[in-house]
Amino acid sequence: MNKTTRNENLWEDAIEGIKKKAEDGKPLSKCNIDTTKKRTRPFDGLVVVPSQLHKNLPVDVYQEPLETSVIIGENLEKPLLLKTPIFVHADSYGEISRSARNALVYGGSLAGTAVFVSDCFALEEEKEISSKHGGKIVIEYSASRAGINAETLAEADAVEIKLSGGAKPGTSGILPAKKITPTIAKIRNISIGHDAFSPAKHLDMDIPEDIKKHIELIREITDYETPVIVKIGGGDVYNDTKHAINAGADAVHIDCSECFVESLPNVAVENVGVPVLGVFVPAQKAFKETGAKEKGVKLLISGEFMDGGDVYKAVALGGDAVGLSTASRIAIGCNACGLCDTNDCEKGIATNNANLESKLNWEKAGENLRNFLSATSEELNILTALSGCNDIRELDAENLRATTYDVAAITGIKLIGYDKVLPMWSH
Amino acid sequence: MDEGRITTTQEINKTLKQQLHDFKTVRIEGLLHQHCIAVGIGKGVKIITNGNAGDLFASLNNGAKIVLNGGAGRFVGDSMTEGEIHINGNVGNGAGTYISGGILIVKGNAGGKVGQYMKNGIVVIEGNAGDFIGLHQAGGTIVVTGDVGDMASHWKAGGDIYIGGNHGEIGYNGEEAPLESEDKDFLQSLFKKYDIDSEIKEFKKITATNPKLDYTKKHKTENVVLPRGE
Repeated sequence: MNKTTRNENLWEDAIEGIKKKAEDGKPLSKCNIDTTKKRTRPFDGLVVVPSQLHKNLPVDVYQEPLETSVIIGENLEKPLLLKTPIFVHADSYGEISRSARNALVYGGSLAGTAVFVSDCFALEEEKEISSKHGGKIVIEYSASRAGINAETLAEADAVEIKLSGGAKPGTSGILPAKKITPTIAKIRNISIGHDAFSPAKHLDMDIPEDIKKHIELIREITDYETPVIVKIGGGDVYNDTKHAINAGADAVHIDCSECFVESLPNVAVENVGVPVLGVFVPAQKAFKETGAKEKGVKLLISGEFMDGGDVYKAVALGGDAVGLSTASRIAIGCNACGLCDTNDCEKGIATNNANLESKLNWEKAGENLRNFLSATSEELNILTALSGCNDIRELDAENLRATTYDVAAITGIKLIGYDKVLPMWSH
Repeated sequence: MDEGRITTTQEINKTLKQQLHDFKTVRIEGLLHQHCIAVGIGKGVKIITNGNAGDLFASLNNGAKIVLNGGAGRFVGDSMTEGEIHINGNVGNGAGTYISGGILIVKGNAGGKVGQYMKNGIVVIEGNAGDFIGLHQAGGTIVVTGDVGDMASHWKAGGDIYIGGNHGEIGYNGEEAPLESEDKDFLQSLFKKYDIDSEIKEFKKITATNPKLDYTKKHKTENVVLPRGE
């Protein structure tokens, strides 16, 4: 499967890249949300099986109750309850404006789900918005540790140890100097006028076993009451997932290669990481072998989820909840122009230019996000009901069929027509 | 606390927090290399610990004064924002990693990577330290009264390092700077305040060559392999 950032005309794309590199001697670096690039919807090769005579009769989505909630850390004092198996990714303050963060937190809170705030901190304003509207904030414990302290961790509704981002797992990050305002510098404890660097790895995790100590550290700070999630990029999914489960995570979050990234080497964005369709089988294998489901560990997936159909398919493939990053951004007004790393975002989202930021009405944008999330949840409900299920937890591989040989081979889902799993899966 | 009755990290920290509700000073006896002890403690309290701590001792300290009479493992004082940590013994790698405030004083030797990615605050090693001290240092001050290994200040973007003894090769973007009178005053007052035994006149100062590092460029030390698990 191709990754999603290449131009339809690969030859033209390659020539353009060669010329650019010949000119400046640097690896290509660009935001991957550019709509001029051909993108393949990752779940297009799967269809939903309606329930008719053979299995349950369909459920009437308008007249019967449907259970869609997800609990992360179900054995803890303060579990994280999502009303819908969809959560919001809010990129770091710096990458996106304060108003954009407010909009994402507001919209996610109104929809009754959690907002995962990148780069470690939640602004006071966001905490107020979330608290006022019954929202949940998940704090990211990343390799830069910007804004991380004991109080922040103790206040979080959950803490996510981020080992990698899906679009560029294993690479370091740079926030360009032009996007660093005095407020951002203060929160991140960095200087104005030069790039801010985030290491490729946690500098206090020398060996794989150290992740267990950091989970323990966070549990000590949060009195063993708050869920701890481990986020990995789509890489060696089976072994990494198993490792995170054995380290004691309440949920494993796999951020797949389709995920949005503002900038950084195209060579990593285009070549590294497992796309979303490829993570379910190895992750499920790790869950099965460790007995994780029985212990209440959840599998969270982020990829390119755009509608309720994508969410349904991810849940049927074994995911407990999915993260929406690109779609959430678009719902608050992003037009996917691909200029995120320039600070010139006309929509007031990927910018810290006060004039541009003022173009974003965060309350209105937040309401739009709420509408989008509600509509997406409703789409999920429609599909769940026509599958004859009252509860999303009843969904499984039998609710799907693959329309292509490749997708059947990758996912282990029955191929249409053949109506069986491929021989390679018959064991 | 009653030695021998509680042994796990969770038990020790839970009892510690309970005691801190009622007392300003709490003593922990007989620590046996448990990890993550006395973490995330706030202002206005003092914790005295006897024994040897494991990794991440006193991490995320948020204002407490914490004393350990014994050695500690890796990453002592990790991510401290405020407070004082005094270690009367040797410590492993990564002392003071990610700190953004407060002071960590080790009266003993330290492993490598002291003060890596520190943003503010002070780390003092009254003894020798290993390689890569101040790796990715963005701010704050590291003082080592003895010798240090190679690659001090590698990829450093800010802050100061003072070394009382000898050092090996300096890392990329670090350079020796003259010890000015304000540096001497700073060290003198620091040593006096915390009873540190050292001769100020011998100190070398290392600063960042260029705080505006271009992280995307290769540099002369591209053959240097950053430290991994030890």
